Amino acid sequence: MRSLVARDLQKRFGGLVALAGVSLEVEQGEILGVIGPNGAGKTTLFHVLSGFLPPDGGKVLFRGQDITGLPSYTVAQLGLVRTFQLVRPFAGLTVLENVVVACTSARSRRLSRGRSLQDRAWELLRQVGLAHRAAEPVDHLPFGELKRLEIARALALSPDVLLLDEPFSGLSAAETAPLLELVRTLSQSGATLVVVEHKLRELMQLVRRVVVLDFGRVIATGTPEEVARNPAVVRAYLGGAA
Amino acid sequence: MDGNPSSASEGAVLVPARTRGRPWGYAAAAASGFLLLTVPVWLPDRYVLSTFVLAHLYAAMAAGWDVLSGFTGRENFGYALFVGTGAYAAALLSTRLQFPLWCTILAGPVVAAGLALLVGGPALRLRGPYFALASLAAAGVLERMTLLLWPITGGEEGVFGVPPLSLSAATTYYVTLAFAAAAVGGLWWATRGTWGLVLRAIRANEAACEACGVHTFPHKMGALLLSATTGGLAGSLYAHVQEHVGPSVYSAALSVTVIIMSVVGGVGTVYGAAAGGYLLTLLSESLRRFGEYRLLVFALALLPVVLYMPRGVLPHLLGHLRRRER
Repeated sequence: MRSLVARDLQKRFGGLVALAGVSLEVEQGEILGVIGPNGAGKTTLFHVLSGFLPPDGGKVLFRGQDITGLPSYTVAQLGLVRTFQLVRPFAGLTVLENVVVACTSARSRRLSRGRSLQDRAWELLRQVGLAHRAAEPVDHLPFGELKRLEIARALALSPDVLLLDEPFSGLSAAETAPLLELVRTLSQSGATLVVVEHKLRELMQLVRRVVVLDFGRVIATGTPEEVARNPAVVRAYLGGAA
Repeated sequence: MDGNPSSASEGAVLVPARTRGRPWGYAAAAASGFLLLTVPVWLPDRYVLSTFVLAHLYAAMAAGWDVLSGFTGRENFGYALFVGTGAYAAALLSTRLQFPLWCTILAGPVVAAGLALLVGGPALRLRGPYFALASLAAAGVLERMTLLLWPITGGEEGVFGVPPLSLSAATTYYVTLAFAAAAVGGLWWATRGTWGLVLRAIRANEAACEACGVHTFPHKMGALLLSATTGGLAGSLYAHVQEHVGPSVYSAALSVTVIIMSVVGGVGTVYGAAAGGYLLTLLSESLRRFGEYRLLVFALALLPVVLYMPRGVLPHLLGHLRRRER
């Protein structure tokens, strides 16, 4: 079953075409990788899928429902949840409080019936391995832990589809490993994931299917091996001369 | 549950770092409550009591400003919009239409809340300097209106002959004290739990809130309504305390005074802002003997606060006590 479908999405900023008709389908339970050189339109694609930007054309279907143009909080409430490439913690709040805020949404309350927000938040912090940091101001956390906090907040909504925007960017090898493990565990527990990533090595360990974007178009789709051999992809990454 | 350190009920913020200061906070609240209750006993002077009445009103206004601006980061530079509207509503209803006292007092917050509903829709979409300017302009517009509609509002002169809250200075003192206590206590109670966290999260990053499925607009509107209701009630009481209302209740000077009180006292805590209201009202009155130099001395007194206690006086002091305890 298809969880998320994008049909001919278009988005332009003034004269710049960010998405020139992107179509893709995400199967229930899979991890789909989205790669592409800088400026290929990956983050714009996420903004449009998650309702942060309205598309100029095209449609987004989520579990059969047309969600094009719905506001971001409604999209999240439906179970299509995204994280940000640059982490956006709630400064001034503690780690636990950050997750509690995410647990206050109607969807989160409905799905965690009966349990208190704090219990739910503690559970999420344990799941991402941040329980020992719960009482600390979020401003004290290193980047790698902020990335995990971002995921904990997203998980508060028990997402049907989780959009991860460059979860590994800016992380050291030591920080990457536990995060990779976390994402793998999420996938094994049945979550559908779409991962935008620049770090191809990490991404290739996770996914069976990759979509390659360049200049706002899908230029290739397939397994990591197929995509890596695709001449159009090689050209996009190495420059037009090849 | 399974061995986690959380035990308190939902609503209470149970993070140790924040709860550690609570005993000191409760002690300070009890002590200041007791002091304020006994002021008319050991200082039964009319002038002193009237100064305290103003302090009660300003403390409530500062707390009301804080619940919107301190928490969600929407800095309201036109808080006088609500205070002035409450004041004029009470003054006009009592002098022109002879409404009874309790009715005109309640009219203040009702009219102010209605106004907040009206302006909140468009204004709360703005942020930063845009919200600040819009709120400043809104209050400015109504200040002009009091002049333009002079046949009704009395123009520059304002409205005279507003019936007094009470002929007894002590009764006036206790009525306004009860209002301040209810406003500060109520706003503190409303924001001390999960809702306060959501409001602070809105200030920190609104887009991230929406990504978490939190629809921020109703929360912002709720904070604005509480803020406006408090300001409106302070305004209607002010009208009956002063027995006169003029365009100055809509002035930018009043708005800025409330902001300074909140910032000096401590933004984002409600009780800090209220403490700022008391501190600065009493300080400003006690500096009257400096005559023309009063404002200069006032500014000099504030400078160290801004420089050395950026979080505000009260959170700074409570933080000190907390650290000594450890």
